[in-house]
Amino acid sequence: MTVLPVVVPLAWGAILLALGARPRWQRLGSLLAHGCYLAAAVGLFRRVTEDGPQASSLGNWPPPFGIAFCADALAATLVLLTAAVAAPVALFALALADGRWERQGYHALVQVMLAGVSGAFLTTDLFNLFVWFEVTLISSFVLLTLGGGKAQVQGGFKYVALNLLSSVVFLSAAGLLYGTTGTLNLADLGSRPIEPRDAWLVGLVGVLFLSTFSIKAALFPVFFWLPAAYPTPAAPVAALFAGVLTKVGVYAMLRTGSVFFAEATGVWTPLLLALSVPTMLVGVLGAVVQSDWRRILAFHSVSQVGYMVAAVGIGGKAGFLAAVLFMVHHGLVKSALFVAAGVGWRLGGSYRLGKLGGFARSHGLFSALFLILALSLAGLPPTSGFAAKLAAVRAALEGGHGWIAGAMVATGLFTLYSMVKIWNEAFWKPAPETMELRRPAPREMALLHLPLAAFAAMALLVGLGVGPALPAASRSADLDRQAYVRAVMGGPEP
Amino acid sequence: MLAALGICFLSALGLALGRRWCSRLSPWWVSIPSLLVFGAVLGVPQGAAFRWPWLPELGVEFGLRADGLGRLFALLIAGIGVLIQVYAAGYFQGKASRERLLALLLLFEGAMLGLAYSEHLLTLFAFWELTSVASFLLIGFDHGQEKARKSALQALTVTSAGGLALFAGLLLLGWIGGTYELTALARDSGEIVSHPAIGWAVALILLGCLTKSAQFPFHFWLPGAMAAPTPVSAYLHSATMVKAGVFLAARLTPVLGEAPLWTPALVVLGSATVVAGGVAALLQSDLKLVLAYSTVHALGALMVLVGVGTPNALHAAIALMCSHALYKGALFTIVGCVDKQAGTRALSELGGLARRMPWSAAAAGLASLSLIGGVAFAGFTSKELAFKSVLEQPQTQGLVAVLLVAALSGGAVALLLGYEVFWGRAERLFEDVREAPPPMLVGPLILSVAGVALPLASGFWENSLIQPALRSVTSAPSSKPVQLWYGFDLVLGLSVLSWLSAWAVYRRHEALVRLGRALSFLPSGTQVYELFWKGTLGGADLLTRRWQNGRLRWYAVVTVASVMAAPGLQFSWAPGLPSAGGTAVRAFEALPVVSVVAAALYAAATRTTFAAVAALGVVGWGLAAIYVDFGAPDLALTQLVVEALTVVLFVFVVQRIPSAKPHRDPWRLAHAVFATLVGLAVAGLAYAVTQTTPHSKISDWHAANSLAEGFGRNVVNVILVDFRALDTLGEIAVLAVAAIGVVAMYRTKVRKGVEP
Repeated sequence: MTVLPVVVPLAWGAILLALGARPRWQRLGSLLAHGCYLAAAVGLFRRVTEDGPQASSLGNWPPPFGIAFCADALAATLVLLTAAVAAPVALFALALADGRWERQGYHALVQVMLAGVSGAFLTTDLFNLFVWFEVTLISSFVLLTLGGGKAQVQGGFKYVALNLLSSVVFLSAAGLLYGTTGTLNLADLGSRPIEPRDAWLVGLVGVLFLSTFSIKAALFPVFFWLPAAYPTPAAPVAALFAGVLTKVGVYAMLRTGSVFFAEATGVWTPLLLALSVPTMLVGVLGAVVQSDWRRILAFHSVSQVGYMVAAVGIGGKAGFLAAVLFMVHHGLVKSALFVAAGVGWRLGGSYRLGKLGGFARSHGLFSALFLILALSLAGLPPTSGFAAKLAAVRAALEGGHGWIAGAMVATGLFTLYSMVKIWNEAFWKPAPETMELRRPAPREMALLHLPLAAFAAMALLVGLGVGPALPAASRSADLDRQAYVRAVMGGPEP
Repeated sequence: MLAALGICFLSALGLALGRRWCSRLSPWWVSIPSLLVFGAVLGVPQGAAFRWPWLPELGVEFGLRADGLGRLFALLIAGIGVLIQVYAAGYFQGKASRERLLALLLLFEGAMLGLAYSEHLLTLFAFWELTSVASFLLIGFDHGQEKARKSALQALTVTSAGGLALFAGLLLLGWIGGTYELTALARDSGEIVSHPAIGWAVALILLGCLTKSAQFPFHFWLPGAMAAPTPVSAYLHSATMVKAGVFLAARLTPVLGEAPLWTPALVVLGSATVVAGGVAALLQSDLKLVLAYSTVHALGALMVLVGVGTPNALHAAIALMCSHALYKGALFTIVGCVDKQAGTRALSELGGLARRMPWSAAAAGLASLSLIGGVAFAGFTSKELAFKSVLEQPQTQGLVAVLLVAALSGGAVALLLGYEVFWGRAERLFEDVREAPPPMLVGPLILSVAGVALPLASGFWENSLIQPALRSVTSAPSSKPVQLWYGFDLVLGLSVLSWLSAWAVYRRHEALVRLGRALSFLPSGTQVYELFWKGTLGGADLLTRRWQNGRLRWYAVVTVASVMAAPGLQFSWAPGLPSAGGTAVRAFEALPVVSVVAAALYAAATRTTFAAVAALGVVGWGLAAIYVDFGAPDLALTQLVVEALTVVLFVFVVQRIPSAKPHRDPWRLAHAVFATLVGLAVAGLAYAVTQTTPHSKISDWHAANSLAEGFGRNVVNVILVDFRALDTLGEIAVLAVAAIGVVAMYRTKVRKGVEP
């Protein structure tokens, strides 16, 4: 059960690769693959909700000697989030598909990336986590450069170079940790006391792990890769990345921190708290000055990682709940906004706000959906953004971190400003004369709107407190080390 | 309550979806939803309540309760809502955008009603934000015009900045009080106001109230919001939404009335608003701006009264809220009629319209009499009460001056609108101007007549509307009921004084307008606002350009430096030293080590790429030699092969790069030092790790079980394909994807300047 979200997409990736350059078959296969992935994610989520954490040892080699997977509420929620993001994006990709990137393996690469992300959420082994990071990295890099625009290759190069740097750090840290403790299984690490004579060394290694996760999560001052890469790829690729990639880094902080590192590494929590504020502010200040739709969104991703990391740093039930809820909210809404940017590009022929205009008059439904999603990103009720912001600000205030709450609130204002900037420019402003409004066929229009509508509905449901998101976030926030160790290593109930 | 909200939101949706079909209907028919809402609001009984667990995990509830204040406010919203929507339907008759406007007005009305009925602080906040959004959409209604877009953005950012402060303030208040329920908070008021953090909560909440109700120094967004169509200005920016801040302040008076900062902040800023708005109103020549600034000073007066907070002052505030909504709504709608029929809003051009537009003139006259505080009008009553309430306490008597300014300015505005426009002289004769159509007259007439009728039915006004509302903000009774006439006393003298000075000011209005133009060099709130954004955006632009500058080398340096700084921090937090030990280095071990170091230094120093690549090859071979020394020949072989291939590939690629010539780089030495430091740090860490031995290692188990359980003698192989086969599967996927990527890259040529 726990391995399905990895095995299913990996198998589909192979199948899609074998289908070769047959766009029709590729598209059909891609839909089926996303369906299977969604089913696997839903199945795992329900199982975990009903029966508690699920663990399995690969090849029946007992942990920590073999590799074990463990799906608790947190992992299952994030796998489900990934599936909920990937499925609408897949529909969107069908609307835009032109055969060019499909021949280069787009659909197969997406599946491999999903496998990598799921593996990162589910594994309990730090080296195995490294492997899933690499699977995600290489597939996302190839996806980034599909189509081969000059900007894409430049962005992709920065992406892969900086992330490989993070891989080097990860690998070194894993080696050093193994040398010190003799194990890389997270539950094993969490289950035994650290030798006092090695405590300083473990702390140093822990902070290396924090560095590598910070790069993955795009934290200040190491977020460079994100604004470089996100604004360049094909529209569905950007949407998928925006929903999924940074979450893996934040998840790794949450998971490894709560099981082992936050206690072993003294500066873990203070660093997260200290870096969250500049992440929020530098990100959002970067966003307000952009005039390219996707560059605005990309910088916002940085600022919103700041919220998540602040919540992780605040910790406790309230902080972790806020972190998970924010990840869910941001995954859905940011993907959706990148989809909206893609729709704008499809209709208006550009991502530059100066070259767009008049959508409010020409495309009422598109405008309404965008408005809901944009206001959600800005944290207005009754959307997911409000629930997430509420949880985060409340956790900060009640945890005694007034300055973090202040930064969150200020960031919210700038977020609103730049969302309204997109709205004013692309939707309200009369269309510039240079803009040629393209008129896709009705079927394509439906495929363009459907994912947006699905995302907007999810954002509203999360914000209204209807559906599984909020209870799941609440369950995920019980990050109990003992329970995790017990689930992975076995052992009697206390 | 739910019925009223439901009708609002559903009919808004219906109008938006069915706008084609609805556009055939007459103004009367499309206003039916608002009438239904009014009916539903009338039917809401005192004390009706509703609760629904909205976000239970976050302690948020959708909680409504209809108390006196909420019911009164809702009645004003829904009542004026009907009239405004009939008016708007007439105003936009025959235009394609009519249904969109009505839908947005209904959306707004629903949000306001929700605000009025909110019992849970966060429910209140949700509706508060919804009114901001609706207001944004309405101000930007004519979004083809840049001014409308700019004003909408400005109003939204100012009210949202306040909204975010309010958000933090409400969360703090809820945390201090342990609940978000208004009634429960009022019960524990004594404990709440003595909490050390209450000052922050009060300041943040007041920021929200002051921005929403256009109080000094945030009042500048309101005149800007006049870019909205007139029905919108009449409804949102005079009668209802701008009163939300006053409403919230009154709402929270039972909780925070005794808190530090509360009274002084409200009174001082309210007074400043009265003066700023009162003076600015007299300097305008655009009718709509005159009304906008006169709304600003009225809101200031309301804030002052709420801030004073005695039962009589609150009583006066509630009475003033009613009478102001009536006459200001009427005057705004009439200005809309004049603008639409005569084609101008400039005071200098208008005059003598009474003959052409008799009904409008009648409504304007009545509303102006109420505004000026004519005896027996609603405005008179509320003004009397206001003066009396500040006079009764010695420490508030100074506020009489503030109220006088408000009365003076209001009186002058009333003369300008009620007299000058309709009976004054004008150069133009307006012969072709006709009376506005009936849907546009119903609203102003009913509102202005209500201004007379309300004091006539003073028993109903006092007992059914004001007293229930007053009871929900204060427990003490007020001593002065609303009446038609209070006799000859000091306050009447003050009224007479205000009438006389208003007349004097009115006579000099043209000079004042000239003065206003002459003073336009003074910095206005809008300019400060724009300066703030300009500064912020400029700073942000600079920061972003410098930081995210597009240069990979900068990115890499910052990233590596950060990765190295973090262990530095941790080390200063928890320092330690490796236990001494290790074995002596043997001579033949030193050889590869020395050659690796030398080759690395050479690679850093050389200026030719070829030489650097070759040096890196030597580094790799040296490493292989070290592996051999430590008894890992298989690893050494792999290393050799990889190294050889890499060098060959490198040479192959470097040959093809056109710019692979030697070049000077000023940063070379710095980078070399930096790289050396990083290398030394990692080496130190690795050395420390070799000096410690873990109790048990996974590899011991692997070695023990490789043959017995995994059926293989080569432990490494068994680990790769059995114990940790999943890692291998993942790495295979990595290789496969990399191959796909290479093929994809090879097949497509890099295109220039084409957007994906």
